[in-house]
Amino acid sequence: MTDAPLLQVRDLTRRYKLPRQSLLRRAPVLTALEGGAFTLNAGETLGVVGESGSGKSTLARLIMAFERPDEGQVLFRGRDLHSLPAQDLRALRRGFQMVFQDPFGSLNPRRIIGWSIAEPLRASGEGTAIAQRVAEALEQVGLHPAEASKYPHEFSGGQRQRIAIARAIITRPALLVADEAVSALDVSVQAQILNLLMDLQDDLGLGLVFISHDLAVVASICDRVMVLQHGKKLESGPAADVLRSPEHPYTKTLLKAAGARP
Amino acid sequence: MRRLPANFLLGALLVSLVVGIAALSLVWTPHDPQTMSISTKFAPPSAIHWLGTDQLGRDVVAQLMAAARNSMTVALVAVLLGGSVGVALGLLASALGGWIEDGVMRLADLGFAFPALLFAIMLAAVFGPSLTNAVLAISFINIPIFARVTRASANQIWTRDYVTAARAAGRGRFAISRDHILPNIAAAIIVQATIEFAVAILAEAALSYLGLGAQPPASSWGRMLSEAQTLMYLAPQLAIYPGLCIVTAVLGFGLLGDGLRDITDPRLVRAR
Amino acid sequence: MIELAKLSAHFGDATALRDADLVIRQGDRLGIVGESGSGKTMLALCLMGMAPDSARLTGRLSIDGRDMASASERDWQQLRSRKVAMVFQEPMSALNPLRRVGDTVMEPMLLHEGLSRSAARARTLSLFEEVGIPDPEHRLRQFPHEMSGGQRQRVLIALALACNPALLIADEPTTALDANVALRITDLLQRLARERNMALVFISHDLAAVARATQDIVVMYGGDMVERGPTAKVLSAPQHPYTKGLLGARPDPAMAGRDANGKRRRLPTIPGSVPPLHGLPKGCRFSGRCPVELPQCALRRPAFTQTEASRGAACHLLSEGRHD
Repeated sequence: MTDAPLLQVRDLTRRYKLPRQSLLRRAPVLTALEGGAFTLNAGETLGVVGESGSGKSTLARLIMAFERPDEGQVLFRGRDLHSLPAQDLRALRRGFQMVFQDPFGSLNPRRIIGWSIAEPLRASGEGTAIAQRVAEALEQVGLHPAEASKYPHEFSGGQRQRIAIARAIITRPALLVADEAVSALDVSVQAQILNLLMDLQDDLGLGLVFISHDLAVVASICDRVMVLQHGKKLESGPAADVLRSPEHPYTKTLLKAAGARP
Repeated sequence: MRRLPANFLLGALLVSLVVGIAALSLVWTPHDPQTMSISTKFAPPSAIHWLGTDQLGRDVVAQLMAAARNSMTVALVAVLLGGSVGVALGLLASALGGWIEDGVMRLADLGFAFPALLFAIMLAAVFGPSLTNAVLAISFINIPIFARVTRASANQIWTRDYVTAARAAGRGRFAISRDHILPNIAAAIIVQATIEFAVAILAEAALSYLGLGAQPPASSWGRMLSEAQTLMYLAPQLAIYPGLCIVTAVLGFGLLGDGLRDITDPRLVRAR
Repeated sequence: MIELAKLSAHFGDATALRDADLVIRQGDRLGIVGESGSGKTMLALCLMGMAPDSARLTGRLSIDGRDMASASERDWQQLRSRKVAMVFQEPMSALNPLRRVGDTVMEPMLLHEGLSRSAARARTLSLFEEVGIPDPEHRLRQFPHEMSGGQRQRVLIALALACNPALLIADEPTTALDANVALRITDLLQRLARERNMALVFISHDLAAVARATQDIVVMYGGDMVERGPTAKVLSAPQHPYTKGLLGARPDPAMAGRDANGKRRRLPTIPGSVPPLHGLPKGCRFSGRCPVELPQCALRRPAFTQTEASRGAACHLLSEGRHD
């Protein structure tokens, strides 16, 4: 049996209708993403680099099946996520999870973190040994299991991001989408979290889609890099190549802004 | 060491006073509020009748206390009833979105367009005046208010990352509404409920004043005011006492709601 | 021109800023670098007299010879915008959405310098040109939401320059902006400082931006100034263990790709995390996380050791003559 790649994105396009400017003319359309395509295998990391309006967040939402594309497909292990009935999609969700940008907004402030971490388990109906799985997940991200009974506001930004990662890996997913997961963190904390992600990838064989506006960060963790601007792919390739000899002037600007060291 | 805002403290004081007296009236009043004694009508304040007696010789204090009980009960039931339905509708509208959300909000607009008093009069005309109908009318008015506040607050929470994470985990909209949305909008709803309590007290008084609320011999501030109106030149104090009670109760709950809002909102901003 | 001597900000027992020493002269371009809890924001606020009321300040803060450490709000109001001005991080929330940007920029001129409306308008137009806002006549009358993030930041800069201050403090001016916009804003600030012979204090956690815009740099950690010196030297050859750790933790594009065993290279990190305000060590703030820590580091605060002219760090290793 041929193994379908972990994630395959083909021809992905998403448009948004903007509010009408006048009654007579048709509402303008914004093409947030056009023709997005890539393949990701288990254990690989793909970096998606772009700024606001580049379409990277739209790409994340389409991969996570929070929105439907206007054209194209998202194939997770060979299955088209957007043509599945709701129940099947829900069952598949344990296989792919997401880590968000804002460590302060990604956890319910009114619940202890143990509850939040266990949520994916509850949703998929795995009611047994929840406490143990939560403890395991906390240890995997470098936190003490006893912290499960604390509230989010008792933790620092970096620790909250670790908690968010614990929640994302508790169902032992095969794919992780990190949407600007380290952008809101201090440099030294960022390094810790990036190392953690790499460790988890090695331990769990995760495929990782890492979205960021910082080319340097992406380069340090990703095998391949894809640069987006205005919804289109400008260039892509192995990280080392794209960084050593960027083709597009925009990529060069990103590199300069990231402060590539001599 | 928390420093609570002044309006909260004052409101809490007044509310405790009113609610305390209302609760007390369940077990004790200086006299039976309904016992008439024509011979002692219009008695001035004395050791026996602390605020005197009314035109039928009934003890004023006892009536005020019994009326407080009625007022609190009506307000409580009306806010709980109207609030529950309103919150449920708001959550539903927010969770489902699309035309359902639009439809619910248009229904709410309809509800707002309906004058509460007219609705109460209509109910009374059809089913006869009673306390129950007053409660129903006030509940009905509360539904669109809570639906709007709930929907607005809930919509904000739906955009939070932790809700998106719950969706990523595969949780359904009902579970998310219950576990994530509701706990995080509770503060806003409680503030609204407190303020609506004040409104409900006033509404009950107005309806009773018109004779559409608690029917005699049950006591009510509104009806005491209405009766005192005809006796204004004989015994003006009989209008002042129930009026003061209404003011105290409404002011107390209003301040409490205001104070609660001050406590819950800026804290969230400052905590960052 | 502006002098800080042992300036500290206390919150009860905790110290958010400890013994800050600083001299800023006209035309200096200084970068202040640090992570969360480093005290850099507190320092910026102190320079504007906007430290929170609950903070108790000790030490000396003098502006043009006048001690402002215990000055009243009114005294500060005279200095703000005219001597010291600040550019904030979030352009959208720093501008009143209900006022046209031209009016916002003109306000301090009308207020502080008593200019007539036409004079203020003329100066605003020239400011808009100076900060690189195209079509200034038209932009004057626009509202903040009608402009892009980069343009709003330029408006904020124009606002700060309205009364020709001698010192401009830029607090994380590029954080909310896209990469190429951030580059342009950074270059703009640098150019303005040079052309106006104005002092610039550039506070940021973005080392790349600071490297571009400043001549000198101060590195802060846990409320202490741990290292200072010419920007290029400090960033290429750091002397303090924290600075070394910070620079080492930066993701390096040169690290892309896997090593000989097919594994990805890990970033060097500083172990642990910044302790909360009340839990900072009594001696050197960095003790407990320092890879080359000596026994006395946790107990005694290191004095500042000058290693070259206008360069040095506060570290026991340096003061005891041990370089590594």
